[in-house]
Amino acid sequence: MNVRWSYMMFVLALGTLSVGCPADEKPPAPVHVPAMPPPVRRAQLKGLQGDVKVKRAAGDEWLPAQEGMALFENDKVRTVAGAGAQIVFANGSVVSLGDDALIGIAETRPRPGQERTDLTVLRGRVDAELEDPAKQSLSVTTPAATVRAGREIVFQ
Amino acid sequence: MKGSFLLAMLMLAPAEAEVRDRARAQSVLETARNAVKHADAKAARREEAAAKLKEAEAHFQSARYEEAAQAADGAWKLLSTSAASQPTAFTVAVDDKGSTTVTSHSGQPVRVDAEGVTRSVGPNTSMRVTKGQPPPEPKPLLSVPLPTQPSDKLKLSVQPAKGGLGPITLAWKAVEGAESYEVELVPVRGEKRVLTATTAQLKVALPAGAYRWSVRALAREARGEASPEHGFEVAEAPAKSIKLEVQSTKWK
Repeated sequence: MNVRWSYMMFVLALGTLSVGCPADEKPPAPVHVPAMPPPVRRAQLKGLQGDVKVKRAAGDEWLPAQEGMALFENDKVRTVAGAGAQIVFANGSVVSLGDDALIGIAETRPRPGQERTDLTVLRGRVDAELEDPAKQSLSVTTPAATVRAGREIVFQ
Repeated sequence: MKGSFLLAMLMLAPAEAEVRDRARAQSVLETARNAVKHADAKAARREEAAAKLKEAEAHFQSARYEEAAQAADGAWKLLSTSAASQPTAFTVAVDDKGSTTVTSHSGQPVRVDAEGVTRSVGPNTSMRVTKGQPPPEPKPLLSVPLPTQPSDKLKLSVQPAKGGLGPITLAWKAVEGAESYEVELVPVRGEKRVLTATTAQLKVALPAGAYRWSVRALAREARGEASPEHGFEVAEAPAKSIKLEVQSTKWK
């Protein structure tokens, strides 16, 4: 109940501030919009075999993958028949990508004390391994289901 | 207008936080329930974890969601200590229709969520989730069939038959729970063939040449791993010599 009352007071105070602005006030000076933060590196490509390609979140072109290439949120990785790759996440979890596969590096939502890695598999097969499932977690989303491994949540 | 917007915010925002906390507690509780359910009855801290889970359920019933989540996480932690000593390994495979096969190989069970239903997939079990359907019960993994005939790298001399030489018999050890088998036959020159058998053997006529083959067990919602590849060679047996005996004749 206390939370609700303090929230009500806060919202009412905001409303009062807004109502109090006179209509003939000069327009405010242009606000400086900070630049978008640089994308955060989520994983790294390793053990490339055959034809593996990467599409950046902001690009339309499939680029040839390179050993050690950094992967960012919403990047996509594609393998053709006979190809394969390993995706090593920052928290140490490793996903092996089979041939003829298409995956996306999904946005991650870190929680206190836990790094959470999310992966979208649109086609093909991935083999995942969590070395320390008490501290790591991996969430794999497909068109049919979401698969979660490791710890659900970690409290401080 | 502004007033009604403020009123709506006043009413909604704390309720949203409560819904979020409830959902989080529910998710952690589900994980803990699965961990207790699948824990070995003789596991050292199972009783303690079960008591902790009971405590979490009570908190949840009283809408103390934060406490419920913490207690449920505690129960999970108690049971995960031993399972966590080995890595959690699992496979996710998506076919062209988006159906997903989840296979757990080792470590802790993985959780599969679809259409609002969560199920746990423990080590050496597998489930296939059809797009738009809730996850079914997981099934034990089908073991890998062991090829027995022809022995690896054998050279076979066979007579011509309809469709090639043979028939050649490919055989393997039957797998418990298998409803059929899928044989992949790859000629050194030519295209791969995928054949189906309902018993633990397959007779096939083949053109002369070298082949590699493997077999996997299939069930309604499970597809086992393929066996290691074996190889064999097929050649046409030389024609049998015919002994002709011509006797002397009285004709002159």
